[in-house]
Amino acid sequence: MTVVAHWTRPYDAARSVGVEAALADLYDRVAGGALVAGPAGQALAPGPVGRAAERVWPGGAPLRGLDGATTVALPAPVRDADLAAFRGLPGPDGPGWASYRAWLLGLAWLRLGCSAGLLDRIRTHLAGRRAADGPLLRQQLVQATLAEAVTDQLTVEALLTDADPDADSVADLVQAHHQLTAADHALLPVLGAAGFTGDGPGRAVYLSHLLADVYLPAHCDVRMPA
Amino acid sequence: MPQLDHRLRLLRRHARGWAAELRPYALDLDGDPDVVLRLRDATAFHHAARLQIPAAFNPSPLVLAGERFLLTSALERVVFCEEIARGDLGMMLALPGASMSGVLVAAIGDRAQQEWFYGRLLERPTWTFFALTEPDGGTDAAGLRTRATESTDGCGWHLTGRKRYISNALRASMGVVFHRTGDGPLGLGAALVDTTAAGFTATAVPTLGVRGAQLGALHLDAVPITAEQLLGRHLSPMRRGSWGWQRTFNLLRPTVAAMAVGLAQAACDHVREHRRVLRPDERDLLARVAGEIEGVRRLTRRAAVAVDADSGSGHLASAAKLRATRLAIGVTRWALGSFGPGARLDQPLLDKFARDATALEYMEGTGNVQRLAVAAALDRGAFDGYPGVGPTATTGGR
Ligand SMILES: Cc1cc2nc3c(=O)[nH]c(=O)nc-3n(C[C@H](O)[C@H](O)[C@H](O)COP(=O)(O)OP(=O)(O)OC[C@H]3O[C@@H](n4cnc5c(N)ncnc54)[C@H](O)[C@@H]3O)c2cc1C
Repeated sequence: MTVVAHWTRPYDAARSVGVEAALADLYDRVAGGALVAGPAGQALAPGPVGRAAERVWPGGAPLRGLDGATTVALPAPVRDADLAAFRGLPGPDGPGWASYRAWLLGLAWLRLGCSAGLLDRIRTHLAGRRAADGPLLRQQLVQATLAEAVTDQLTVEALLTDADPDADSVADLVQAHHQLTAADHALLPVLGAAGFTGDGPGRAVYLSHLLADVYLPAHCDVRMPA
Repeated sequence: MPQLDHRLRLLRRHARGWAAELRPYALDLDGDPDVVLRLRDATAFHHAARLQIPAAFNPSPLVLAGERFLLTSALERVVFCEEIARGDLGMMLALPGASMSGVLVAAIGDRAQQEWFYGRLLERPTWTFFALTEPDGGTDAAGLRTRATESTDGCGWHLTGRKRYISNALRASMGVVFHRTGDGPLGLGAALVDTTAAGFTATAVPTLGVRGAQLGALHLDAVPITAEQLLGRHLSPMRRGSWGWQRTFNLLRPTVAAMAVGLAQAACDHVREHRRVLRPDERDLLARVAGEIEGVRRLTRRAAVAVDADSGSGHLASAAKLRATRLAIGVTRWALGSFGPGARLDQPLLDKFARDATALEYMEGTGNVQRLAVAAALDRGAFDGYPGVGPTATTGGR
């Protein structure tokens, strides 16, 4: 299976169904029912995984024996999401980083799907809206923003499509994640306040950024052991 | 600077103290907008409810160390709002009082309308709403569709239409509804509305940030109003319409910029307080952030002084709002990043600040609206006088 085909489902689910569904798919693919811990020892998991998990991925530590592991309240606007947040877990280290690269790659596809879904929604939303002197989609400031953001998305897509599964660093993926975050930040205001509602397209973007916050290492230059 | 004079420094010092009383409830308010209803004893609550009432209608203005404050000038509002937003932007937007409607009523209301509006505010802490945006568009205000139609018997008017994203819509007991009585720019108007009127319904619109502001959607189904509720009947259609509105927005814009500055400062304070040990590169960045905040703060004060001198002069206010929004968004994200991975869950207040900051993009004209306004001002030479001796931030105790 090509790299792309492997991540089609989380990408598609994030683009057209929602972040929770896409995350469930990604978890199934990567962690087999375990909680995926990020570099700060946090996890953001689909609700069913959060309720049933017995182990922590990538190290495989049993959850039960972990002293400091606790659940964390979700931020107010997404507290109704079927997700569970944890802290105090053992994050990736040593050999764990090699497997963690696969997670960051899958998560990048998920987040690219989410960003592409945002652009889809913007185009639909703006198609029916007007500025004083014509359709909003024809305003050059709006067009410039969309063009810049889609160019960022295309760059990330190119990078992920040819991502080397055995690379000895996660720098390329961390960069891709940051570029997606920037594209979303530029795109969301184009929806006007419709992008700011708790049940609108901004919710998925916020969840995508929450995932990035939990799972991205602080620095690009995390080296895998040879 | 403009440096603040003695009076404004006094106001700032007190407002800072009032904001500190609100801060402990910031995250609670994020979870439940009704938390503000339980803060009636907080000093900021009680002052905000009675500020912005002009001297002629205000028997008991705020007096601090013998100085009287009405908050009817943009400069005073800028000083006050920056500090309260530094405590919490969600709280700032959730407080009762004249708020945006007050500025419009002061600009185009006749004496009877002002008496009614300010009289209600003086009776008890009262929330007001300002309903301009409609579901089909906020930026293109002149394209609004809400209609005021005169009854066939000539005994009054009815308002019909929909509004969306209206701050405090659910807790307000009065406010203004922007509408049109006819086609074209001369058909635009605004009316005072009591939220208990028949046909008035408000439903909540949940948001990602500033959740304390409790945005709402209004459904106006032939809401009856009297001719006396149509604001600015004593003015020409142009003056009570787009001309008057523009001046109102100019007066309001520095306030939004000040809230952004306050929020950026709050995020910066949080980093200083909770990241005790900073690497040299981080210390350097913090110093740059502090400098950036100060620059925008000064621009915002200049903008306030400019609109106080001439409410038609809104271009500096556009520049200030544009830059202040970028500042608040950038600084809150930088602050989160400075705590490393997992900051959104580990530092919930900072996560909230970052969510709150994005609201500023939409308030009082989006970024693109301000960019276009600044470009137009540049084009007509409005900035040609700069740099020069700028306006000074003294209030003369108005
Ligand atoms: C926290 C909050 C509080 C609010 N409170 C109130 C309130 O109390 N009362 C009220 O009436 N409204 C309120 N609003 C609504 C706010 O005023 C509108 O969201 C804003 O005016 C933008 O309108 P819109 O959301 O319909 O976006 P649109 O007008 O649909 O704009 C969508 C996008 O197109 C861009 N755009 C529009 N026209 C042009 C153009 N000509 N050229 C280039 N780009 C353009 C905009 O910049 C934006 O990015 C509030 C919003 C928020 C988020």
